[in-house]
Amino acid sequence: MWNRKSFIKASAAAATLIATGQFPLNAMVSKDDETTLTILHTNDVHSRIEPFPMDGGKNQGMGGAAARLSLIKSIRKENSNILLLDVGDIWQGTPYFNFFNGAVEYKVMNEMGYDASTLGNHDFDIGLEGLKKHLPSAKFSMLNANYDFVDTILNGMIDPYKIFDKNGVKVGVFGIGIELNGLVPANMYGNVKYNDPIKTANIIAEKLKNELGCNFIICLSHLGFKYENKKVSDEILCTSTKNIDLILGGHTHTFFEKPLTYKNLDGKEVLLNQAGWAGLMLGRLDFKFKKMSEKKYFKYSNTFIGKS
Amino acid sequence: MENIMVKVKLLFIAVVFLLLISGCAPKYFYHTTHLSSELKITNEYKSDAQIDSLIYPYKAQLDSTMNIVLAVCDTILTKDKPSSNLGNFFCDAIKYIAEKKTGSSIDLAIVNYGGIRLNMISAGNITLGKVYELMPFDNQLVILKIKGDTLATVLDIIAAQGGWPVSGVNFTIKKNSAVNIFINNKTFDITQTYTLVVSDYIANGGDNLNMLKNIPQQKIGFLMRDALVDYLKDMNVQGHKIVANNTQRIKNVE
Ligand SMILES: [Zn+2]
Repeated sequence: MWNRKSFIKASAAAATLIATGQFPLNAMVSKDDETTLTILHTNDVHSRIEPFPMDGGKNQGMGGAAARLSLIKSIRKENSNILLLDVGDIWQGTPYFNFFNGAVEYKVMNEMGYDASTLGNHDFDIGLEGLKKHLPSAKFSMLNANYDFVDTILNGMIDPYKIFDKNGVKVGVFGIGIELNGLVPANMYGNVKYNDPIKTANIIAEKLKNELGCNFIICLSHLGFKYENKKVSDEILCTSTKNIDLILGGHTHTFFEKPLTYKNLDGKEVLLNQAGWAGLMLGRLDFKFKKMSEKKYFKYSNTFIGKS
Repeated sequence: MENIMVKVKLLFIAVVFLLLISGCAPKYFYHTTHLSSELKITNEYKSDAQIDSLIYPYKAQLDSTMNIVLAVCDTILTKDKPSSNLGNFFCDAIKYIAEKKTGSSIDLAIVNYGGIRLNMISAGNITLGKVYELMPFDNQLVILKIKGDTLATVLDIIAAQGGWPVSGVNFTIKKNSAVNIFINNKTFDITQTYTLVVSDYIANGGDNLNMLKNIPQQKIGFLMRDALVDYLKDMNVQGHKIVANNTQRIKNVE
């Protein structure tokens, strides 16, 4: 763990080096002091268990759970320090959901070793009973911070956030969901109360950063990339919050060629990425952390899965 | 197939040192390097036995029922705004079935843009599985008697969203409003009441069509998906292929 004392000490040393104009960059930190965290993510997979059929369509042969796992396995060989995340709308879109009611999607995600997901609007498509039935079988954490489940049968089953220790880097992950009213039939979400996403995100991120000492904070947001009207979106979330390092989006099925960078409320950099839909793309971001510095090297590659 | 295309772009390399002073003690320094690469993987990552064996029993069960061919599509159908041949097909099908089930004529059909879940149907066989992908939701067909002024509001909302799939209605989008409205080729009359077929999702105010919520619903006990299936079966029995109807039922003002 990186405690504040050694952090300040190291920084003071670094400051001296900078001040005297001699800072051999690589010599300053030993290999043991740095770690690379690979973030892999999907969103809106919508029950796409199989690749798109070979029917002449634009996506023929692309996607599919098997190809995704094969890709994930090859990345795990490169770097074992991985967080595999999903941003919701796991369910609905192929007969796998209509006939097996959500069981196959969760099994497949367990097999791939997902660490966490958040709830999309379509994850309410078989009601709260459907989630209550399947959540216990999920080996990943279902996270949401702005839906209040207190008056529902899901009370206690969905955590607002989870902290992962990734080789000494404390990573806080939390989930934010879209307004359900008008989007999801009322009988499906029952007494779930929707709280303001921006306010909630700020409260949770502040807590993760300052109270719980996270080094890196990720928000899984099913709000959607951006809208023509003033409807709350990932873009608004990026610029109206602080303490978040990375927002992984969904809902609008947007294929990002590369992550976008925004300035948050504090003028600090926040990254936004989204990986289309249907398991056609695996988003990837690599962050290099060094003990004495705040946030480090970053690179990414968003990868299409299957044939092109 | 193609080789792996690896396009690595060194978009930005930056080294920034930032010294923040708290009191007189340096607090931390900040150092970033952005390295970006863009990888497109073709057929390299093809399969994984672990997943294949997990899904096999489910896949076998689905294949036995979902691969049934309902009809043949003559050309590719695609979904688009303001109007498209896939949208026209979808709405013509539910209007046809609603009329067949009720034995009375329906003025118009409307489907929300997000309610059609595939962006295209390829030419060739349309299987039952394809219809599930096109309409995975268990939404019911609902018939509403809608007053002209309410319908005008609905059409304005559709116009503001750039156009939804429709049947029985034509109009032009001008400054986010519906103008030059025709219902079954007759000039729209705001004082008249029209018969509309939609999904129960829309009838219950989904996609922010709250004004529909209070209209009494005539349910015909039929799923949207089953309507598509029956329409395709009927066309097939009658010896018709599904052909593209490219009429721009909704268009943007020139
Ligand atoms: Zn969604």
